[in-house]
Amino acid sequence: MLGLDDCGTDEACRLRALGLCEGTSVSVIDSRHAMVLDVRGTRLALGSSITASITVQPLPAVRSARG
Amino acid sequence: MSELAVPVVEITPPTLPPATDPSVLRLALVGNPNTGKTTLFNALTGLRQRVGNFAGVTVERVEGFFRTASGTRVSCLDLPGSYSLSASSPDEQIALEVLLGRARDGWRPDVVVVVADAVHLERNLYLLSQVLEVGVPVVLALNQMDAAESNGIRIDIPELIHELGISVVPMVAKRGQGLDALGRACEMAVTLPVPARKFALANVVDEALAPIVSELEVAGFKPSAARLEALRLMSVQHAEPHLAHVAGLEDVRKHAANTLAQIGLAPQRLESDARYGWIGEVIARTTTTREQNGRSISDRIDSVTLHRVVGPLLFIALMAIVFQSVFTWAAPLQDAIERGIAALGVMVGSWIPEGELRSLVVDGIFAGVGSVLVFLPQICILFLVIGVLEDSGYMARAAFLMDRVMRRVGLHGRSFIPMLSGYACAVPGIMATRVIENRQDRLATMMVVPLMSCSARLPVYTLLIGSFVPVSTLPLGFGLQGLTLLGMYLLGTLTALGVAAIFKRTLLKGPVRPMILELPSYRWPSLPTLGVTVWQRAMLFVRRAGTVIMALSIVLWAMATYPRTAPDPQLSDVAQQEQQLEQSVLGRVGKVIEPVVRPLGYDWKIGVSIAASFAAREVFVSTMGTIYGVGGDDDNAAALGDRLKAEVDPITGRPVYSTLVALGLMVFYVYALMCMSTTAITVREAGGGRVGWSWAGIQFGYSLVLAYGAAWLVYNVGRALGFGG
Repeated sequence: MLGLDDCGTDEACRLRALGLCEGTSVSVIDSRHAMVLDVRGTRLALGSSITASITVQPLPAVRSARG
Repeated sequence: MSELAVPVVEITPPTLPPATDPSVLRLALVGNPNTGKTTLFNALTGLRQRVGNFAGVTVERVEGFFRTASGTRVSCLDLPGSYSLSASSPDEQIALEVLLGRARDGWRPDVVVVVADAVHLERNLYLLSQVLEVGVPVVLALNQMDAAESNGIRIDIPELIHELGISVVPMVAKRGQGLDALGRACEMAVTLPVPARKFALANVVDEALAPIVSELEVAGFKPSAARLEALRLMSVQHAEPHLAHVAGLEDVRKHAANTLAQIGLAPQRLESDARYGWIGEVIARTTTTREQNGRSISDRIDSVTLHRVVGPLLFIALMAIVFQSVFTWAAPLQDAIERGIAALGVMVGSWIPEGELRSLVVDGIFAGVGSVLVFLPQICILFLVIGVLEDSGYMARAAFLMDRVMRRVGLHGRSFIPMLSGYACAVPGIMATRVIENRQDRLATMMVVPLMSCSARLPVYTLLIGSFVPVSTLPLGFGLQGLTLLGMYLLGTLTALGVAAIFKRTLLKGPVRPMILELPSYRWPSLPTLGVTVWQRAMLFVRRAGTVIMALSIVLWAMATYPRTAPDPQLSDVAQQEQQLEQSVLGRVGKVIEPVVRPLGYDWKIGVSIAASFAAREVFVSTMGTIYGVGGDDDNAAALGDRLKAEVDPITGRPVYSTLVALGLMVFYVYALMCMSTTAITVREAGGGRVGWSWAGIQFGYSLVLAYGAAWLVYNVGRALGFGG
């Protein structure tokens, strides 16, 4: 589950269009120098400057389709 | 024009002829990137395509033509791939304008086909949900059904049709499946009721947005489109550019946003929450996904290609192959083209009586055409390779890997491929900057691509290195000549990165946009699609650059030929040639610029060669060949080298060419942009017209300043340090 901190920017707007909006459940595929996320079945790579403003709350083991 | 005239639209003549033909069905193709939209477009239209730019912007406009199975003529516009109609990039802005019937060229769609990837239907439905509201008939082309099946995704098509209220055509575009059905669906869609919003907003939200909707309707928006715009305007950060066409809207917008905030709703997330809320319901009712055991093939490939150690190594290996293929595969083809054109020129020349006309045809026109066509093999091969990387899905990974490096100089990971291509030839490199979405980044990349030493500099380097750098072997088996060549390449590359950083901090200042990159699933590229793309690029180059280069070639030929001098029968042919060149306009230019090149240690002959090579730098070698009377062939390069070493300054009695002068000259050629093909393509790619010319001017100007300054430094600092004279 996640929330976008600085939610008024162009980037936040793009992320929402890509399906990464508030309350979406995501899984982290890779997080070494940039995040690779699974968002609604798509792989999204996000730079560190943008992942800094995304808050993620861990979900219990059971995954729901939408938060 | 068509039915609904929107008062604020300025219609720029001349419109393409079919746009006004009422019997032609106008179809706009939109879709997310990586949905196979271009594959579908190519499958529909084949080579009946017209490539240009949207008026006033660098966004490419591709229009194609085809007939449906029942004979309807269709003009199809391939809109740039976009994830939404949020207009946060020029591409999305264009897509929105066209769909709303506000395109500046007056082109308005009769029907919109949304291409969606069946594997990622959920995300693709976001764009569809926006397009459903623009007030134009919509058809959903559900592409890549085969991939969905193999991923265990089942989509209930009748249920989806029911949910969306529009025709849904399952397709596999790369195999041509579903094309006829799509044609029928489009013909039918125009007769059906126009779709509208499928979900309802809370009453309070509708009330808050109502003033914006009514303002927009007054401004000429269809009711449905006005509601789309009102919702969209709530989520954008900088609303100003979107509001320019409706006066006084900003106040209404602010008021609505405040109202929403007061009742505890965040206006920015209103649209995504509403749309994805609806999409979630649709997906739940229409698709079932069989649980995959283990990771997908794509993820497994990624664990190699994005691996911490293996990933970068693989990337370097692949780039080496790209570079090599452009260099080596193209070489025999280029030779063949050069020889072929030259032979043809001689043949045609033999039909024309000796004289001015023959010289114009053979040395002017045919040589000019040859200098254009010789780039074709490199362009075709580079775009073929880039196409394979792009369509297979690897390009996104390459951008991902290079992002950290390129970010240091303020560029984007995607700038890497164009810069690498620049080693082969700046022309395809600049054309390849199209993969960069952000205009600032794209222009900055375009500006520095010519600093990468291209293959046309190689003859200059080899001549000068071969003649003036001693053959000596250093420890570890490195040769001094080879190291000098490597040094020239490194000098260009490092300068390119530095200059890009400067551009990004000055003229092209803009925030470095954080990386948001979709990593599409890997798939096999489709050969017909690649073929069409390569063909498009090749034709674009021949048409646009060809005309400019031809014209300049003729001008240069004339400058080297006129005014004619009376032949002196006592002199040899070669001496006559030299005399002719000295007396020609070009020769006089050389004399005039001699004081300018003196500080660099050059005489008028080098000056002339530089002046002549402003059109194409490889001309430097052939002009030097002409001046020193050994002919300009590569075979004669060694002879030319010996001749240069023996050249003595008539005044000082010292050799004209020292190693230092040669080094300075090479550095000059590392930086100087002396290639009219590059200039012509920069004009086009930077946006054409005055904008294009000014960017090409900046590019040419800074390179020349850099070239002169660096050559001066090498020569004078070298002399001060006591190396050569």
